[in-house]
Amino acid sequence: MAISGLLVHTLREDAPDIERQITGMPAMSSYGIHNDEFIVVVADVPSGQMEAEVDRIKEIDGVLSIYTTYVTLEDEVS
Amino acid sequence: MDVSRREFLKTTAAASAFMAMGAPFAWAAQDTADQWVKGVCRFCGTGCGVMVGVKDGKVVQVKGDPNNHNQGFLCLKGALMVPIIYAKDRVTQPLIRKNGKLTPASWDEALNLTAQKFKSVLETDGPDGVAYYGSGQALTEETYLASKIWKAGLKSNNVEGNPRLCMASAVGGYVTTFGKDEPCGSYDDIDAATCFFIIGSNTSECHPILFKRIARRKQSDPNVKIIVVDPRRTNTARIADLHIPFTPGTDLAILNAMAYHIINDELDNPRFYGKYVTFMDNAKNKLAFDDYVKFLQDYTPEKAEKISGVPAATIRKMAQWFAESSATMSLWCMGVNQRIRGVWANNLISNLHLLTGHIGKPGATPFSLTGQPNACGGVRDTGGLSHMLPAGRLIAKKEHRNEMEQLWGLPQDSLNPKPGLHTVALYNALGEGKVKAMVMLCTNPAHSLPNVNRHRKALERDDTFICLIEAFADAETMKYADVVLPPAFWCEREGVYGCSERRYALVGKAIEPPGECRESVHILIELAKRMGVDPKLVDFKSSEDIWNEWRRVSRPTPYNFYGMTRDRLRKMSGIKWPCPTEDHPGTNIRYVRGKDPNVPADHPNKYFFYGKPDGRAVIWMRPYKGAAEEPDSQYPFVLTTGRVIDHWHTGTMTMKVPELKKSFPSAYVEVNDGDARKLGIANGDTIRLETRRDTMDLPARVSDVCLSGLVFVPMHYADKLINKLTLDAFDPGSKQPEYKICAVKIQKV
Repeated sequence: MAISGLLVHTLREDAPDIERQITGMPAMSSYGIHNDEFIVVVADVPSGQMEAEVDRIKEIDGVLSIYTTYVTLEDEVS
Repeated sequence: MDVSRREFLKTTAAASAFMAMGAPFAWAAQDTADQWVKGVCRFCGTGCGVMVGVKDGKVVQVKGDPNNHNQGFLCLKGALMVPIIYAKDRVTQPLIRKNGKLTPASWDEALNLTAQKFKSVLETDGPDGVAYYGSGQALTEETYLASKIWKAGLKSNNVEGNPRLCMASAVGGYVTTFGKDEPCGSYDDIDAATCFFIIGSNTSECHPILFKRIARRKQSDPNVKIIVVDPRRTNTARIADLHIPFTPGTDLAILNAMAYHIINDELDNPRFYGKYVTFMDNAKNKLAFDDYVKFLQDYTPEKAEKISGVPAATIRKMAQWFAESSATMSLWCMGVNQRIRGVWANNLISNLHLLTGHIGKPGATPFSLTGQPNACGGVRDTGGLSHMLPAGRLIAKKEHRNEMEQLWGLPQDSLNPKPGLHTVALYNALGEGKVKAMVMLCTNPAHSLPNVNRHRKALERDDTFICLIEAFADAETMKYADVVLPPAFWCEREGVYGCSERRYALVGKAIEPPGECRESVHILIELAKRMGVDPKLVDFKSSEDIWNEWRRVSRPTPYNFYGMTRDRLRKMSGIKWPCPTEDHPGTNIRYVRGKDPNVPADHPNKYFFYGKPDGRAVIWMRPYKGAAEEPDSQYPFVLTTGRVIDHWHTGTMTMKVPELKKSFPSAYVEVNDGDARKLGIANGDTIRLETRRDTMDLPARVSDVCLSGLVFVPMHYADKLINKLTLDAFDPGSKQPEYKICAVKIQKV
């Protein structure tokens, strides 16, 4: 399992709607909208599915980019 | 892992995202690793700072360094380095080819065999028979050392590196315009620019963290304008106010037409160029401004429209935006550099800045982006190319050779005065049996060279000897190696990377390398000694010793690194050169009094282009020149190649990360939807691409990304080596090949 910290950069006017869509995904938790344009998201998904989940976010209208700030694979490496 | 620990890690993950934003938080992330080691990302030239988390002697986490320019952000590639370090196909012991197979050997056997082959070739063919081929991914110390061993120790100037394939035209552009290589500005300019002119760069996919910074700048001020000039409607174009697709290979005409309009509409800045600029033609004759105006008459927007397909009104509009903004920043990358007139294209971008005075002020600068993490430090700055010596010195200049002879403790006039072979010429010479022994470090030319079939045949010759220092067994070049030496990888050794903005930062050693892997500097030192190089030339105990010599060698030049001590690099997240003293903070803006330590504080002028004898930058009159291989009736389409966001170069690293591999699992050809309709091509259909060099079948990805007449193929896949189809024509100035354009026929099969 991988836990990732993501910063989702959005168009300002779309941020609330994008956050609603992200929180509707089972593996994603939102830590709120910040500076009107960034959504802090934590993904907790089985290894190998993270990219598919991130792709789903990328496809939402108004998402500019997704930045990974943290990934732990602690239980896979140790 | 129990629930509470999992929740703790999730909180830490969220905290890292807050940290990346610079947001205040009361519940800051606590370390989950035993130790955090400061480093630099292993991928693109953005040079993002990372923190490598170690637990029980293993890397378990990678997070962004909040103190570096990336402010804690990382793209997915950078954050997913861990599986690459622990890949099953790491090379962990020396290998020697016996009866056609690479078989385990001792270090002594492998080093002695390599040294013996080199000595034998040196005896029969002299220094021109041997070569070194390095990388923009090697550490600064590794390239400096290899260049010194070959040029000073073996008297061979056949020292090249893969930055010849990606950045040589930018070097040529900067040197001919400003007199010195490397950008005038820095990433800080992004936060102050009010107009971005992005040409030949898919920043969003190739430099995602910089794209974030640009997008954020745009959101902070809706008046900021973004112009994207690219034949593909990439993700970068999504945030553009003006996306300008154009016929590939016609950018020189567009750039000259912008200059025409800037002058014709009196959007220029005569006060600036009257004082700080010289006008020159291709023959290096100094001419007058009126001659430049006359030259531009061939590039009215209407004439450029006929060449490029860009409407004249659009050319005028972008010229106006460029000139009228308070600060314009140009950004470009391989789309401009990988051309047979890449140097000229670089010159013409800088022309626009010199014509409008958009230079040397926050937000106003021409700025080339680099493709590799250390193309600058590893190769450009330390002189790791066949015509260069360290810190901008040239082999062809006697005074430069003499200076280096003194610094290296060599007899006067002992360095070889004849520049070596550039990359394409080097591999051609290998194919002709003129170069017979080569050491390669941290690069995969059997995948990455253009027109690669020709060069794979060269590598295949029985009478050539290839010693490959390579971390991953799946690299295509392994197939051609006679000896493979296993290096310590990334954070398994300490050294310095220099990124696009002249920032040098330390990659700290976090863990021990696996198996018998050794640091590449020690491999090179050992090889040199066994090849018979004077031991005094390689009397280094560590990469830090080499760094300190590099600082001293750079000191008498405008590249001055002297103040960048190892101790400072350990404490800070990078310093931008020039940095002449230990209390100097580094340089954001070059060529400006009070900003650049190379400009005397009492210099009478605000700007001083000290790389030029008259102190003036050059506006070049560079005529339009199309591609080396234009489409025709037989090959009517243009093939271009490049990156996708989640892979990097030859894929030997990113293909090992399941998340990245699944994102783009296999190669494809991107086809314009209108072209697809005409040819009866649907998504997923197999398409045969045929160029004058080879054919390849790929599944179609139909979209509106490519301009009609253009197809795009990513370059990362070893099972679909698109470089079998690309062209190795090169820029006569920079010798950089034209990867971006060749003629191709496409048909559904």
